Amino acid sequence: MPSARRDPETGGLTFHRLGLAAAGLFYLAAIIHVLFLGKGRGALDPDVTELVLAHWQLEDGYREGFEEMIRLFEEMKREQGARVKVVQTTVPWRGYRQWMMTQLISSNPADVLEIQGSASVRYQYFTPLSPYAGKPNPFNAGTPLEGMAWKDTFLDGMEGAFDRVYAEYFGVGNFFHNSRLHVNVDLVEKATGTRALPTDLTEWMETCRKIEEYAERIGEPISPIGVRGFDRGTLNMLFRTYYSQLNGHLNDDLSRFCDGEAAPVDILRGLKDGTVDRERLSAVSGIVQEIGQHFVKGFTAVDLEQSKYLFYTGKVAFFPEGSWNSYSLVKNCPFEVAIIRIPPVGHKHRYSKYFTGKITESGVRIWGAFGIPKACRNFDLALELLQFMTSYEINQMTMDYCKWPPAVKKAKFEGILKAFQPDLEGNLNVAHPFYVGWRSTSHRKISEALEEIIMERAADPGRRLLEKFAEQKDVIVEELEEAVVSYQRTGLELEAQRSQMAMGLLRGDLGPAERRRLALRGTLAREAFAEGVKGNLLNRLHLKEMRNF
Amino acid sequence: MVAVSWRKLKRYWPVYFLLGVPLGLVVVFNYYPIANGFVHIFYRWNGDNIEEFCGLQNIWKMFGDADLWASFSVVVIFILANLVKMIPAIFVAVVLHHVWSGRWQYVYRVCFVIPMIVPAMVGILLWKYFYEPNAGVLNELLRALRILGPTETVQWLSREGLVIPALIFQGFPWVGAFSVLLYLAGLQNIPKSLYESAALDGAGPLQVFWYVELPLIMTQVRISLVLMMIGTIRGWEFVYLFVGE
Repeated sequence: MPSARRDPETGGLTFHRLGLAAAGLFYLAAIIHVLFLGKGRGALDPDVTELVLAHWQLEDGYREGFEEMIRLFEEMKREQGARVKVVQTTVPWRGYRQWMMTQLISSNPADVLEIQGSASVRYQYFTPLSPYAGKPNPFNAGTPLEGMAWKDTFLDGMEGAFDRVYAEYFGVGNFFHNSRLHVNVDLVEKATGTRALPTDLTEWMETCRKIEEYAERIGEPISPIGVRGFDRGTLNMLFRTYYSQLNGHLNDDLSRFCDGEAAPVDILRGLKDGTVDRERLSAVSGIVQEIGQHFVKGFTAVDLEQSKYLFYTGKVAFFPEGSWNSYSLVKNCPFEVAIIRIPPVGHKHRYSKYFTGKITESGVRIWGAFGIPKACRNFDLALELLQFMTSYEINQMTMDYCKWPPAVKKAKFEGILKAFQPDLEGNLNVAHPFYVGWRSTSHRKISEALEEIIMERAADPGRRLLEKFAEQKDVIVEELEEAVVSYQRTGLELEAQRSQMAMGLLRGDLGPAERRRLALRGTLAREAFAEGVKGNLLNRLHLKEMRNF
Repeated sequence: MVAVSWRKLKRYWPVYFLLGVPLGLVVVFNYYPIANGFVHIFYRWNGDNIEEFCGLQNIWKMFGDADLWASFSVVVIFILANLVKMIPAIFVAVVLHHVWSGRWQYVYRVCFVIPMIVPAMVGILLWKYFYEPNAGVLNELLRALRILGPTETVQWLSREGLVIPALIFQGFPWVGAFSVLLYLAGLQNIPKSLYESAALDGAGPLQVFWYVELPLIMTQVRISLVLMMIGTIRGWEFVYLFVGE
């Protein structure tokens, strides 16, 4: 049936009336749906309370774990005589922030949202959970965490969810992650004749050489190390790991302002006045270059999915990757996969003289923070769901589906999870050396230099790295300028907050508990402000020095 | 420019209103960001809280950036290559136009349209696997033909001299369904009388194509050319998906 036809008299196009009427009807139906049945709530029994839980975790098992948690929550509520329906919504990470902001701005958001965004977003749109963080989670009754304050039930004491700028907790996390080396044990055995895994860098490199020999022997394109080169994820992981193992001492030796971190300006100054050992500082580039020679061919264009595919099909023996992908690696492989820490420099390597020990994993940070938007219509129920999902048993059960390390204390690390149990031994000094911030321009340029060092087999990788670092001076100055302005804004926001607290205390209708809470928040805001001032002062000092270099 | 009289405006106000709404949205979401971008050329701006006038500093910086000129030369190479890649679609459209059976022509047309529902992203990812150096189809083929040794690899997407040819070859045989349909529509509008005249003049198939069909589908070719050039200039994501950061 044509939607338009020629008018026999004028020869012009006329719309088919029936088609136009149908379009109008559909339009009307859509308007009614949006205005009156928004989010499908009207389709439900009015006695049923619906909660929407939204996040961006699409990894294997995560959604299934949440489905089970939701089932148990609904069952519990049913036993209590309440009819509750929880709907899980997932949005891919790339579009999640825009989606979340649209929801929040429209004042009709999901009831429990995984939080992504700046402190201002959290403050503006999410309800502070601080009043509940100090009280026990009721769902921990009868567990080893019974009676503990909610925040103390998390491995990081809820530190990862604490917002220093606003001195509030806006969310609670679910899991932590660490970096591990995934090993195709069968392939290692075929190449080396043993299932023993490398314990240090020298052994690892030796195993890689044997795998290359094995590939030549059998005539198959097998590479020792799989790489997520597309976003330089593996490169950065290895660089940070080995830099810290060789240069952690710089945090103590170089930081002139006792901030415990060797910033780029400290390193530049140390290089200029000769207080920094150039060879030691740049040794990491030699290590990365050495490992890089065993990377899968064409690694710069290989993305995560391709690397996984190569690992599944036995084309690579080792794959350094975050624990968030471990389960899918183990699940899809028809061979035994061992998961170990990235082998430390150890005592047999040419750079062992600089090795200060592996880095401890004692300071894990909990991720995956969920919060409750201020516009949530059922705050009490949403809070109950948050407490339920972060309780001792449920958090472990949920995370067991995706085999991610759970956030709660005293969790049992069994099966594959054993590999992710934080290694508490080792050096505390984690160093972030040559760039101002993660994914900053200076960071990108340093990563590019490392790629070049590997691909071109640079004769003097250390010198190349330091030259690239020196080239970043102007970029680092710009990044510090931005950091200074950003801190200024933070300071203003904190001042505004303290004024709010003070005004609040002047109100006569506040009870003693509420007054105490307001006063505490004022104190915390002052402390955060002091910390901000310190940070800003350091940035200004660094900036001044960088400009004069 | 034709001025809109008050009388016309009063009479046809619903029409102008209906036109005004989308036009307003286009201005707000398309023109305003572009204009805003032009204004901020003269500012040191981080998109948020830093906004300082800096004159022509950004422009000098941009022209002094070696990456900019390198990217321009790459775009020119892609445009030239894409010009060549337009030819197979014209060829296929002409062949399709000359299929005598209406039913079979319809079947072929549908066959060309069906792949259009597959997102371009999927096609790119398939080609990425095609070029994968270790277990990709292309290298496996070269190994099977003994052009490469059993453990040899060609790094199509990470070797400087190979990456641009590899990106150009992508999509082979370059028969874009949209272009084929566009040219076919043009060909179907050519009056039969022209073919008959050409036949009377003793024109062969090549002459018919060269002197009748190609000149009469130049409008479609021009549209396709403009779309191709726009697509090539803004096709950043295509390269990004292939080779990463």
